[in-house]
Amino acid sequence: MGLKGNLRDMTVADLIQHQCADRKTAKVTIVNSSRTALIFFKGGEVVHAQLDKNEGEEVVFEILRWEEGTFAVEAAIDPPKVTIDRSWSGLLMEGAKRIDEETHESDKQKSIQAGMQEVKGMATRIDEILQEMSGEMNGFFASSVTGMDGMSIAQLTKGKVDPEIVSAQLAVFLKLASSSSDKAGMGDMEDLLIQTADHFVMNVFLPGDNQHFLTTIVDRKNGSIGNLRMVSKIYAERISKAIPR
Amino acid sequence: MENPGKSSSNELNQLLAKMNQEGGFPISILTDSAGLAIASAAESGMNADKQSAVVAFIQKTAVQVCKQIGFTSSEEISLFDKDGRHLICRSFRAKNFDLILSVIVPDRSTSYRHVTSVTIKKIVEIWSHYWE
Repeated sequence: MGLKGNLRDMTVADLIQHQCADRKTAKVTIVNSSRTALIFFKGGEVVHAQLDKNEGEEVVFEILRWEEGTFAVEAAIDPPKVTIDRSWSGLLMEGAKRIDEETHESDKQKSIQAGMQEVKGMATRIDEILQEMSGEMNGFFASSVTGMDGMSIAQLTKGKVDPEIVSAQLAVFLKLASSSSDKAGMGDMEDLLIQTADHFVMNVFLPGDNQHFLTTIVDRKNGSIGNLRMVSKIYAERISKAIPR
Repeated sequence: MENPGKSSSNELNQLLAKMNQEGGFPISILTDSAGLAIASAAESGMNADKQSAVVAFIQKTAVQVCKQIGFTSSEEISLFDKDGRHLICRSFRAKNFDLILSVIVPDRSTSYRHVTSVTIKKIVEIWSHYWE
């Protein structure tokens, strides 16, 4: 009677290594749940493997991933055919490489998913802050948090204005104004207010970050510059803390 | 014979110098909408030509931005730096000309609105008188 065991005690890779190092000719049956794989060894090389309707080295690569199951070795059983010509060490190396790549890919996916969750959570938090801020301002019209690349992170509007266009346009303007401020004999820009006939448009850089800014628009009939500036600064601070860095 | 351009420019320069003194501004410039300096007054070391180019650049972009987002043209732009200095650009019309008065206000506690409003009123008067 041949060797029998559990994959928890001996991995598939160890099993192959063991048979090949001893230059065995044998048939190994591995059962994982309801699936049964067969590996045939001839003179210390893996020459054939089959699982379901599949054959060849791809089967070996698949069962190298199995961590649960049982195995049984029957010595001196000749293979029914030869479907593998790669050396046993080459097979194990290729199998290990594939597992590494899959693990890396899976970690990457997890990291992307975690990042997306974080961004989604951040956007929700900023949306909530903007909503709260709108209640603190008379004549609130619209607000947005935008990166200097013109991409809007969050926005809230109560008027007929396209926040995407506003964000992109203001980013260009702020970049220009920021780079011009030293030429005008000024230091680093902190905020920029545009007054039109009907609106005040306040742009405040988020504290500790010249890469994002908060834009708040109020109508002139009901809003006031002092309130706009003060509330914008308070909420810029809160939004800055909500952005993961 | 009086040269209206030269006389008005002298008068405007004097007006800006007086405004700077009253408001405590280190520099003030009056430009047309294309950024060409019409009059200026500055402390020594301040470059009025450079300043007017910057102001015009900012103002032009602000006009474009306001147009793009569907607002009327900007009447005033205030650019604050981290030390509280601010650049104020106020747009106004005088005899069908679009003009911009810009000043640098040295700190947040200095008020500029009243002084600049009075000056804008006088500029409109002078402009109307010379370009009748």
